[in-house]
Amino acid sequence: MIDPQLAEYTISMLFLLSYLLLMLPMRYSKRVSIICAAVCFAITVAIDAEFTPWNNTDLMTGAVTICEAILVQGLAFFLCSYRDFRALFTGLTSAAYVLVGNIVFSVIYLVSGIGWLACLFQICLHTFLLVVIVMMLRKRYLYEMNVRSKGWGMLCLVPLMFYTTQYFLLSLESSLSLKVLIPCLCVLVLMILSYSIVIGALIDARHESELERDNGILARMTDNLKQQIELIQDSNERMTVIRHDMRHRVALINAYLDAKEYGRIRDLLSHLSGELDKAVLSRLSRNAALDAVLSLYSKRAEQAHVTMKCRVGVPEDLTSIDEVEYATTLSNLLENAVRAASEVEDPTKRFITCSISIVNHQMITEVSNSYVGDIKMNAQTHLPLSSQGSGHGVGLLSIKSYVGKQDGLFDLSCKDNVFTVRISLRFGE
Amino acid sequence: MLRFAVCDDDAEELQRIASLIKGYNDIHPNLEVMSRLFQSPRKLGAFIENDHDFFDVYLLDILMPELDGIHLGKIIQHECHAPTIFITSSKEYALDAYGVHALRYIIKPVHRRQLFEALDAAVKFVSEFTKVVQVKSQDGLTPISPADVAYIENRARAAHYLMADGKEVIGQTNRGKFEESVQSVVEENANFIHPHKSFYVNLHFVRALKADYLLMENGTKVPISRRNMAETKHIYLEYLSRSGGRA
Repeated sequence: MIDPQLAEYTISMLFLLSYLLLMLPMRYSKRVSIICAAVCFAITVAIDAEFTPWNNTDLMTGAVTICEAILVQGLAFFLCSYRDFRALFTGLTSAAYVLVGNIVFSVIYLVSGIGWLACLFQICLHTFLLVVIVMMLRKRYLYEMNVRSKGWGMLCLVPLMFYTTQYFLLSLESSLSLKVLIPCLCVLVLMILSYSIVIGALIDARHESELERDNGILARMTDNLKQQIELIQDSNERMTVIRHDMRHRVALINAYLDAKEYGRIRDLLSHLSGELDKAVLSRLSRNAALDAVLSLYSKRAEQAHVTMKCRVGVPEDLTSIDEVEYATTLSNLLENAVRAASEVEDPTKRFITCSISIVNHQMITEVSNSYVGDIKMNAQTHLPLSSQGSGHGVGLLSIKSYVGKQDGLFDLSCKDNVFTVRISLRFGE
Repeated sequence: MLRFAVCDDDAEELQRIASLIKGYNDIHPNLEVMSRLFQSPRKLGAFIENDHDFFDVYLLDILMPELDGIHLGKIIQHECHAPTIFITSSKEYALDAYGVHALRYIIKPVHRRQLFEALDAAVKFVSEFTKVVQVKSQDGLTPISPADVAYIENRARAAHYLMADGKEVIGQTNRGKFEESVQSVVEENANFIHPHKSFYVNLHFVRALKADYLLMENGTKVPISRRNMAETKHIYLEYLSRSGGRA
């Protein structure tokens, strides 16, 4: 007959490790992670079976608890992609998560005296909470883990405080009683409320930052369109002048023909051709939004004496891809490219190439540019650190985030002073 | 033999391009080149769609009555993915040409050097798809075209060559390294990558790259090891970018 207390600890450890496997951003493959968790489980069960903490002195109980806590937190650190406060927070939260079921086990066992009943309640509650957490929070939680690297240290205080409070409350009495368990239940409720508030605050903060990002996107788009309108107006004005002068030029050509001055006719036609080239806006894409962005940055590149080549093979309608978001992403890429290329000292070595094409139901965008100096990479985001200081350099991060949300692919490379970004987005599916 | 199809509604232009192709053949006597001239795009379209008579390289004008070169280019891409060179008098259709993955886009009048450079690219493209390698299989020596191999799997110490048409060629039991046993096939085609210790994959037959596997055209999932994930993604995107913008 298994000791109910041993069963409680074993069940609790099983669910705690399951929580870690589900909620940690994993550094290793699923198989390796599960094996490590299984080893940790075996060790903790062996310790519990050997030492039966509930029959030992407080000192021994404390020592076993600390040992197991170190083992579990160590596992969290080992498995987590980020070996920082994020791993610690997840580890501490896993301990807080199982506390709920453990307290309920204690209450049921105390009231009924039936071990298997208490275990059943414990399993049901653990399962229910795990399912709710995974279904409602996991995706957002993992997203926050990947995007937010700061602030987790402070958040660790929340589970630590509650877990410590519960532990000391339980250790006040030599045996469990309702006198102890009721305050524990109250602290538990307080803990759940605190977590809800913290998670709610995180979600609100994320929404605000997304709204800010969307506003930024719209502002950038508006700016692009305004500048495109200016270019079109400028082009129209030049065309008006050319049309106005055409009659005089035709008269001049006729006069030159009569005088057989063919050389002058050639010069005049060459001059006229040059004026037309400057006046007419060349189309770089069939899609209007992309054309606006490409024309704008072609102009900016020209002003910065950067050679820009575009090769765009996309239809007018981008179907499944949001035009505004994509055009803003492209703006970001070209903005970075123009800035970097313009810093190259030798104007003949300043270049940008941009190609957008549809291959295998994917829209592939490639932007390459020359650059000078060394590019340092952020160890966490694997993106270049901005030379403009903190608060800048969010362009590539926002592009990477956008591509990730579209289930696309993002890649960048720096080789031989050429910086290349490639992204692929699902198209037409 | 390399078969060229040239299509232009202007008979004089057609003869001019044919003459340039002959000049190209004179410089490369080792290449056996045959040109067929079409003044009617509909006739060429019918050859491709109805008779499935495919050429190796297509040189097309764009502005033609009956059927324009862009539409003809789409038919070619759909039926046989052969390299297409557009020769036209207007820059305006360049955008549409990129959309059908044209190899080159040449503005008339056609200069010899420009056309020869385009033909060099076309010949290189075609030669990659027609190479054949003799592989030691369980049935003896089996000829395999590396361009038609979708992926190679190391299974039970033998290399299994999965072909694009669904057939499988099983190599002899391999005493040495898997990489060495398939080297003769893999090095003949630049599209092969090694995403996992037991697989070589031809990028031409990859439908998509997912979280930790490559989804092939036939639905097979080829795993990517964690160590190779970043490089596989890089090479895959580079390949797509190259394939999409040949012009």
